[in-house]
Amino acid sequence: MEKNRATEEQGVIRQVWMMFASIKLSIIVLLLLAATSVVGTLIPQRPGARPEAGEGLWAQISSFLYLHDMYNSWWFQLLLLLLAVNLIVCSLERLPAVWRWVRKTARPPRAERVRKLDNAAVFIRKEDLDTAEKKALDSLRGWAIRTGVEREGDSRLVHAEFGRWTRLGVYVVHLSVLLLLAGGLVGSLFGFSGFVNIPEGETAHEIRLRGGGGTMDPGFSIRCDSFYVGFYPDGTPRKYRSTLTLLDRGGKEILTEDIRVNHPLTYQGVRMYQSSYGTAAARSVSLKLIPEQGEPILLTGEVREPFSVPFTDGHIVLMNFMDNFQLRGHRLGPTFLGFYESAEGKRETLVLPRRHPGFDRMRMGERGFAIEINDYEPLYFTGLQVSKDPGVGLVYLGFTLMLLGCWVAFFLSHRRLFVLLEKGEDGGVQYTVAGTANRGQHALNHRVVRIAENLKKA
Amino acid sequence: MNSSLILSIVTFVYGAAALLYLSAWVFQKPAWGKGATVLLWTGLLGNTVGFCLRWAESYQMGIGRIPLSNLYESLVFFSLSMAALYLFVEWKTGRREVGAFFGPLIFLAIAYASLSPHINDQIRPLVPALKSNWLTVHVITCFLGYAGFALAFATSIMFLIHPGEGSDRGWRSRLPAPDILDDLTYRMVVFGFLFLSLGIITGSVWANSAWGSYWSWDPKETWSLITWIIYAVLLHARLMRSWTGKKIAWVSILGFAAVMFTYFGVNFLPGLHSYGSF
Repeated sequence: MEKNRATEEQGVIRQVWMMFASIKLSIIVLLLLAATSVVGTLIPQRPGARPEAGEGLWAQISSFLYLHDMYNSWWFQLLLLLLAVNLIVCSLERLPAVWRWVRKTARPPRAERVRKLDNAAVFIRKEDLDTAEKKALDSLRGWAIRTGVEREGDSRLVHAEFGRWTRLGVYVVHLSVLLLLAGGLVGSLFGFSGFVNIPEGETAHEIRLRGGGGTMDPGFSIRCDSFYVGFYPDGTPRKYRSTLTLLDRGGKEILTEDIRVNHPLTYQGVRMYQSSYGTAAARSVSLKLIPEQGEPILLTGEVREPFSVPFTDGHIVLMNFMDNFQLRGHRLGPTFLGFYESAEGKRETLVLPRRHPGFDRMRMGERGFAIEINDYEPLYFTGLQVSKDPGVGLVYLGFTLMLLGCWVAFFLSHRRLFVLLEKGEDGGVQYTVAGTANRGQHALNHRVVRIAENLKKA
Repeated sequence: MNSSLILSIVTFVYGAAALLYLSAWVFQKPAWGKGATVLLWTGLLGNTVGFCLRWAESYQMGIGRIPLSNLYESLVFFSLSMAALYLFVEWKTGRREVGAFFGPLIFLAIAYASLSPHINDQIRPLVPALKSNWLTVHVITCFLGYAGFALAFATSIMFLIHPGEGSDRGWRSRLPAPDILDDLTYRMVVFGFLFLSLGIITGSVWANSAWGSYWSWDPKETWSLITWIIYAVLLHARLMRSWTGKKIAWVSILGFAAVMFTYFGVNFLPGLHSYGSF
């Protein structure tokens, strides 16, 4: 009884093990990953946004299944875990047998078997066995490593072998997938990804984490010394560059470096990427005052400094700059906000969008002149992506192994080639050229034909 | 003579080659097949010249970049890689029937680029993020992969319409034997799979050097992963569960549908990779 139960339990464990070792499971998990990823591309993803359990069935389903942050959901991670377990069990199940194959020197087959191979080419040459053996050895050496001869009575078997190790290629690919998954895990556990906008001349002490994860201190401060942006004639940005200085907690400068798009800065594993830019404020502004009659005049000054208006003895103060001002749902673009104070001390609010110079014209009647923004010198902020990913090394190792493994698995094979030499009745030698391969049968047959042709000519 | 003109002419050369491949197969005229091959080589040459000329033109405009960055340029390069891959396979196998099915695909790609009113063939400057040598490697490897999958798609269709070995039912039985088609499908999938892997990897390394993340589940990234998975499943089914023939042909067609969605469909979804302006 006891024994029975033990074997029964073993049987269950074995069954579970074999389930995880099955290719069927791999295929099902892979197809599930593909199918659910399709859903992830159709529903807009907002990584990090925790789903709110709202009203209604759909909201509840979508919240339970994390449909808006699918790739970080419990069930997607579970599928990835299942894939990893399947890969490991699959490989462990098959590896020992393959390893024995790779370690063991295969015994040369019997003459019988060589003759029966599908690709066997048979022909007769008038020569003695020793010459034939030498010729066969020479011709096989060009194709494979590890050659040998078996002599038995009036027959000789010249054999050669190549690439027993190529049977391991597929396991290298499996290992590479595991490394990619591990790299992703390490990155999500020990890395972070955030961003920060720093106006020229200012210093940032913390960065904002992506997906609403709050802020964090990267261990140093970042100062933007200057920012440069160059444009193509059509107005699209050609190049942007920030000069950054890193400072330690005490405010001491650590290093200063220029970064550009595609040329990040790395410090203590934290990488800073040039990712965006914008206008934070204006350094100096040039205003165009247009009276009802007469020539317009230009005034240059600074934000928060009064501009005297010659026609009225009043003055203008620009209080604020907005990079993208919105008024009643309309985007007005870069806009200055401020006020006009007449000589009598009456204040009137000003909204001066750079791109809509006519915006102030309607006030002209009351005031006697209109104001436009003629030009301004922007003070930029630089937008940096700041991230740390200690898993990248594993991922890159995975990439390398995947390519190497795929190459070996698809294009190389374990080949064995045989030339069986038998003494014929009329003093000639009968050649039987044949070969086996675990993959790439077509190429092998081609090779057998070419070896046979070479031997006929030699 | 500018590159757009040359590439428009190439469109018609490819079209003529495709027509000739089809006629040679349907009417059993081997000589026409030879003509088709000559035409296709001419087209490939013109396609290459057009590609290089466009490259040179971008330097004359002071932009200076390899023409691989928008839908027009990618279609031109796609037809170039398809023609090159096909001619290599034709040279290796000595069979021209595949041209009857694949030639039209080569033609369609470049015809879409040249003739669609929605596709802009102007040379535009690159935004800073695209200025990287990884762009070149990424695009070339991806499109070589796509070309392999496209050829596998053609041979899969041929396999499915084949009436079977030994049967003599007119034009359909003049296709290469089913096992040749099956083998060719498998080889092209392997070729495509290797290059798609390379393409995903180079794109990933590039993204990591430009944005600081090697993978961000952008729709195009995700769809290329979906494509990769479908072909990975095909390879496992074939190598481990000995699937051949019809089953493999259907999976290969499904895989190519995923390739097409990765290439075109994703533009309708929001993301980093959309070629925009459809």
